[in-house]
Amino acid sequence: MLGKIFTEFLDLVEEQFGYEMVDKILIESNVPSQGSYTAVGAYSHEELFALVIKLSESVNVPTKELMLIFGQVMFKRLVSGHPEILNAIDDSFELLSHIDDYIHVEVLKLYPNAQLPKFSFNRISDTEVVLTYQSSRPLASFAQGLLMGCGEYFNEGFSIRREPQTSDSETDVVFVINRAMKECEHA
Amino acid sequence: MPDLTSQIALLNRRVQRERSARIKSEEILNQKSLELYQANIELQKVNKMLDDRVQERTQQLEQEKLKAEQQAAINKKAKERFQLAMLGSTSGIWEKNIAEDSWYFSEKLCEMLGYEHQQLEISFADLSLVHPAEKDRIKHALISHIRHREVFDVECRILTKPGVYKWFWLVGQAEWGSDKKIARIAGSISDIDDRKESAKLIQKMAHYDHLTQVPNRVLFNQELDKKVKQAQEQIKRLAVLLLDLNDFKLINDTLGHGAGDMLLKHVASKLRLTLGASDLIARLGGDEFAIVLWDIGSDQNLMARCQNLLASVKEPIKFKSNNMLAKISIGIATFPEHGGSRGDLLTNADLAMYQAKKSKVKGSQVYLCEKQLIERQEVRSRIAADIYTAIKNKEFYMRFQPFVELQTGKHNMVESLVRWKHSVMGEMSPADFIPIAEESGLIIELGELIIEMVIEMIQKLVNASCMKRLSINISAPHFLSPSFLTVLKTQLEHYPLTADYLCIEITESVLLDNVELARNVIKELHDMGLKVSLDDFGTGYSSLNYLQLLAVDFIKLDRSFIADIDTSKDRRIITESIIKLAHSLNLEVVAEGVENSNQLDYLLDYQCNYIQGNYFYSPMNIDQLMEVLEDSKYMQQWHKEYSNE
Repeated sequence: MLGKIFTEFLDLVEEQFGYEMVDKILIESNVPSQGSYTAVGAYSHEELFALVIKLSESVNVPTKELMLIFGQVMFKRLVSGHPEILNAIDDSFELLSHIDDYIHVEVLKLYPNAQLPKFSFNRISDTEVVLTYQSSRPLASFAQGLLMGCGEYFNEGFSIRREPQTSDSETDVVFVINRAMKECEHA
Repeated sequence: MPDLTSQIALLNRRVQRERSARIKSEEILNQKSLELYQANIELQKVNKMLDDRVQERTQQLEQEKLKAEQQAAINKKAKERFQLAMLGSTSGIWEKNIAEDSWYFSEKLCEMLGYEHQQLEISFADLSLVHPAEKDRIKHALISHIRHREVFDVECRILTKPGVYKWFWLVGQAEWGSDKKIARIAGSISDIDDRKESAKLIQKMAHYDHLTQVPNRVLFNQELDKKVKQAQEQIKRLAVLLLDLNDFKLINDTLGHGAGDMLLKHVASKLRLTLGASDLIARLGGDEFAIVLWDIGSDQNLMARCQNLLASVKEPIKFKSNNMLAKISIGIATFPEHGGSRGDLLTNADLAMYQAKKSKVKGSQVYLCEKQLIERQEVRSRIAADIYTAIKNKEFYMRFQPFVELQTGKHNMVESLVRWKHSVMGEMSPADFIPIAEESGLIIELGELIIEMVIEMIQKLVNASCMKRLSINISAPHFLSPSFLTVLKTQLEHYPLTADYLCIEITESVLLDNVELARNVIKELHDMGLKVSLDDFGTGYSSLNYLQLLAVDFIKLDRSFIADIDTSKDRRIITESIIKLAHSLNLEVVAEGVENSNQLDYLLDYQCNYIQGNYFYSPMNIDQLMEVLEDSKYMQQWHKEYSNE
């Protein structure tokens, strides 16, 4: 997993709980890297889960919720770091429809070893899409957080629900996303 | 509040983590730098390779561009040349592009045919302008070209805008694409109407007689061949008629060639009108016509049709103030009786015509060929072949018949006579083989052989005896041939003193063809020292005028006069008159065929100069002749002595 995820995660923990919390979860989780993360490095995703579990225990917030929040924040940071991605994108559904065929293609050019999940996009209507998430890593909640961050970014008031059959899975999840039409489009 | 120590420891750990992260980052950066460096090196290599490739490709492109420019220049020149040629050409160009389903027609082509491009597109596609008789030929030629790559080259008639069919020469060439299908077909059209017309005229000139406008010999031969074949297939009889105008030469000579031409036109026209659609008439040359009568049926029917033909020309025609009457000899040969081929039918019709001409009856004659006539001709042909061989093998030999000078009793005049012993038929009479030699043209070679043989002997005779003249019979065609005098002179060069002992015997027939030539030859013979004798006098025209013209030395009265002299008073009167007349012209007379003393007595009375006949001597060989001449020498001596007493 990209070092950028770890540095962003630890920055977020430090922002919310101070460096003491960062120090605490690093010591308690005893991750192999000992917390010396660099954004350009690559680390096992197991280390992230270990850190999130220790944070959950420390702050008494469920891991899934922590991952949701982290995903939401992560979207904003990714967009601010790579604004060019959204140059030709007008709305959220358009961005979601291009995850596999554009965004991930660009990611692989920068990080050839990256292991990326697969997103299948199915537009139901102008206000509803079905997005199928498939990954070898259990990061569905993080992905859901990213989707929420996307809805916020475009200010489209996303309502995201998981198909019941996949609601407990973290590797294979069908997201049904509904959005409210923008006021300007109705005008 | 965390204590200071904890704070310091916390910060130390943080610093330691940050430092480790920095070191890790630096390692990664180093690693990435190295990778970038190597990638850069690879990129440079790739760039170099690409540059090389680009350079190589650029060179290739430049070469190809140069080639293309050169080709374009060539194409431009070719196009200009082609355009110039098209402008100058009298042919029109057409093209059908199969792939694009489009037509092209040059301006010249539109101009030649007189149609707009659009009209031509339709009519070229369905051949609607092509003459119905030639449509199939064009289709066939096109199919052959496409299937077997044979030349597409057709002459055809095309309906031009003014509504007239004209002849054009249509040539085309297809182009096959890589898929082996025809991509297009292009060609030219040339106006050959004038050429066709000329060809027709030439064809007519080559096949028709200019004067009478009936077919000539060439066309007649072709048509007769076809008709014979047709008759064989359909089991029909046909007749080949050869027609000859009697006395045509006389008309030409007396009334001029205008009259002759008029008569030929008249005859051709009348005969043509009498013939049926399946019959054929042609002028073979001179005054000779040929007719093919188709499906003649019986001989009776044939003869009736011939009489119709004669009836059509029986009315006289007027030329200036003269009336001319066409008198025709017709010889007929029928298929299949008298021949199964053109050659046989014409030969046998000619034989029959010869018989018709021989008829003593004046006016037109028709003679139908007979088997016997053909067989006789075949025998004559075989004999002619044998004569040829006999000349080569020198199978002929000479006999001699002396004749007596009545005034002196001398036996010093001799006639040489040719003889031939045929290997199968035995001894043959000159009366049988000489006419055959004359007909076949072998008479000249035979005559030359005789001259050669006689001149060889004459020297011997002159030396051994007191022979005065030895005569050689020369036939009319030989006498008038250019080789006669040449060969005679050549022979005399070997025996220079013999000319004064030679006499040439000719018949009146030499005069019929060319009097002037005959006179010249006689004069030449006289200049060489020879004498000339006119044989068989009294049997032909016996024109006294000729006697003066020719300046011969002797006349020989034909044996027919002598045979009747003791029984016919008229004969005696004629004989005496001829002898007197001859003497008055300073000619000496020889009487032939004297068989008895009565005949001799009359001739003595008429003061005939020489007597020839079996009453004195039959023809004999050279040794016998030598003896006779020897006796004559003694007789001469005795006569001299007797006269002196």
